[in-house]
Parts: sequence; C-alpha cells; structure tokens
Amino acid sequence: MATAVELAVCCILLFGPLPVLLAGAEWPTRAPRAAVMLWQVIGLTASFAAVGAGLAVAVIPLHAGLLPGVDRLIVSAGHPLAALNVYEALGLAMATYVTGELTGGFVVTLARTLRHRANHRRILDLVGQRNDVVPGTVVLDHPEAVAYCVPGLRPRIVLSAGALGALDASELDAVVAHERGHTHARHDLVMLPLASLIGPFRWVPYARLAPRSVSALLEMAADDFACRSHRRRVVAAALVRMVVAGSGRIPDCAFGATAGTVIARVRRLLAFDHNSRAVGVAALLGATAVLSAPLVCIAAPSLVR
Amino acid sequence: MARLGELERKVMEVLWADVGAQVTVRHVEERLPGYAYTTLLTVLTRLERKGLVRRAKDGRAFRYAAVTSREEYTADLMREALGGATDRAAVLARFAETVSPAEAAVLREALAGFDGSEHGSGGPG
Repeated sequence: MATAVELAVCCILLFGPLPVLLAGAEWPTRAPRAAVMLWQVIGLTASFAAVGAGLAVAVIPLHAGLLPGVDRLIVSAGHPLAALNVYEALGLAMATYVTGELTGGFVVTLARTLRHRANHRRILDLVGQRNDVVPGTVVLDHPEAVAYCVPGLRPRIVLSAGALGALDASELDAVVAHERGHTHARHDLVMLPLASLIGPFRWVPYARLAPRSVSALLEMAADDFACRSHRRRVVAAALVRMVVAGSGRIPDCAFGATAGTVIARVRRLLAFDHNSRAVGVAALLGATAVLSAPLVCIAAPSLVR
Repeated sequence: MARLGELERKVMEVLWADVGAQVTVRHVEERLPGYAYTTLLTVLTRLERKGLVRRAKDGRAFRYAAVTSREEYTADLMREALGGATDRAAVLARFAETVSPAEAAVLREALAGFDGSEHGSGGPG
C-alpha cells in the first residue's frame, strides 16, 4: 500500500510541479546539455514510477512488497480474468494503459517521423543544388532565408538562396557548424520520445513543457558546438542576420514562444560567462536524485523490515 | 545506386526545363547524350512509379511530364522547414525561428552594443 502511494507521489511530482519549475528556471541555459539529460531522466523515471505504481496497487492484497508481489503475480498468471480482484484489475489496467500509450505513441511518432523525413529528403535530393560556396550543403533556390538540417544516418544540411544572400562567408560556416552540432549529436533522437508524448499525454505538464524546453536547450547546445570552431560573436551575428532577414513575414502579434528562444540564444552568445561547470555538475546530481527516488520507494519496505 | 539517383535528377531537370511540356524518351535522349534509350526508359518508368512523372499515350509513343514543377517542390520544402511545429522538431532542425520586426530591432541593437563594448575602448569617439 505504502509503496503504491509513494510511487504515485513520485510520478505526480515528476510529471507535474518539477517540469514547471525546470521550464521556468534560468540555470539550464548555463548547462544546456546537462539540463537536457535532467529532462530525459525525469521523463523516464516518472514513466517507470507510473507503471510501478500500477503494479504496486495490483499486489496490495499479497502483502509482500512490490518485487516479490509481482513475482507471485506472474507465477499465478493464467487464472481467468474473472478471478482478478479489484486491486489487480485496477493496478494492472493502469500499468498496461501507461505502457501501451508510451510505446504505442513512440512507435507511431517514429514511423511518421521517418516517413516524413524520407519524403523530404527524396524531394530535396531532386531539387536541391550542390554548391561550392559551402561544401557539404544543399542549396534551395528560394529567396527566403532559411537554414536547417534533415537528420538521419546520412544527414543533409540545407541553405536557401536567401540565406546565402543574408550571411557572409564566416557566418555561413558558423550556421553550418551549428547544424552539424545537431546532426552529430543526433538531437533528433532526443526529441523523438518527447514529441511522442504530446499526443496521448497532452494534459500532463511534462508532455507540454519538455519538448519546448528541450528543443530550446538543444539549439543552445548546437550554438556551443558552433562556438568551438567559430567566434561567439560570429555565431550571434549569423543568428541575428537570419532572424532579421525573416522578420518581414510574420506580423507582430503572430509569433509564439519561439521568438524568446532566439533572443535568449543571442544574449547567451554575447555573454562572457555563459556556461558553468558547477551548474552542470549540480544538474547531474539532481538527475541522480530523481532516478533514485522510485528505487528508494521500492526498496524501502524491505530495508525497514 | 548513387549514380542512378544522379541520373533521375538529370532526367527530372530535362522534364522541368520546358514547363508543362510532354516529352518523348527520344527527346530526353537528345538532351542527355551518352545514355542508352533503354536506360532512360527505365529511369522514366521508375520516376513514374515514384509518382514524380506522369505518362500519357500519344499515338504509338508515350509522352512524359513532371507532375510538379521544381518551384512547387522547393516551395513545399521551404514551407515544411519554416512551419516548425514542435512535433516537427524531430524531422527537421532549423537554425533560427522568425521574430517580429520589433524583436529583430532589439537583436540588432544587442549585437551593435556588443560590438561597441568590444571595440569601443580603442575606437575613435
């Protein structure tokens, strides 16, 4: 009983208030990669806690603790559904629902993403033009300024003719280095499971906040990657120029949370004390604490005994 | 494999060269000297199966045309790249989002301010 409640509390804290705090915090911009890992650990741990809470409810009548209880439940499996008591029915239904939604959502998102990406790449390879200006990139003949990457095993980095016109040579290199930061570290694989949560778990704060926060943090991580080979000022200038080149298109009222990200990125690039090792270490310690919370919940009863 | 993709590209470029025109394999062959008639026919059939090329019967020969113009394909790709919804983030990662003119001004000032503080001490004035 106690284990079920503890795990449920863990799950609720990790999926509710903690993401709200984390999304509002300022420190993640000072250690973006560690903060991304913290987001991932929170999601993973909360999911396990949710399934664990369901199983813990199911084994309440056995008075045996979570792990021995699940063990006995498996041994006695095969008895007809009608024989399930109310705890087992409720708990197993919950565990099955969460597991099903998580894996189902992931598989659907994965399939859709891969199909969409393959489609985009197929057309890109037909109409994109190879160029000598920036080796290794594909140019789209379009006046609007845009730079992006199509991730995958053989990623493509795409620049529009508008982007070539808006940036000077070193800024173009910086943009390409930024995109290589994404493709190199496979940031798309970080986003994939988060994006799959948005559908079924829209009402959970984590599912709404994590994709937005993590995508902003990954942009900063890619900025940092670009800064390894380029001056911070050049990366910032490239960002400003791209944004300014695109600004005529959208009226003042029509933009969402993303504009704030660009401003935060430019500020961060121009600040001198942007990244902090101490903040990163603190985030890793936090992730360890989060990860161990449900383990303590599961192990505690047998420790007390 | 990569060479076949390259040839598909060249054939599409021939079809795109005359907007709305329906051309014969002979025509493609004239534009792409050095490739065998049968090779080009195979490529056109592949492109048709992929939905990129439309085929129509004209007397005893077939005529081929691109389903979509190059400009339309480019515009489609740009639309996808610019319409960066969060669930698209896993598909494409874009360098910069768009901001309002007011915010663009703030950004330009930030950059100018940075340059000022970097060079200001040594510069004139």
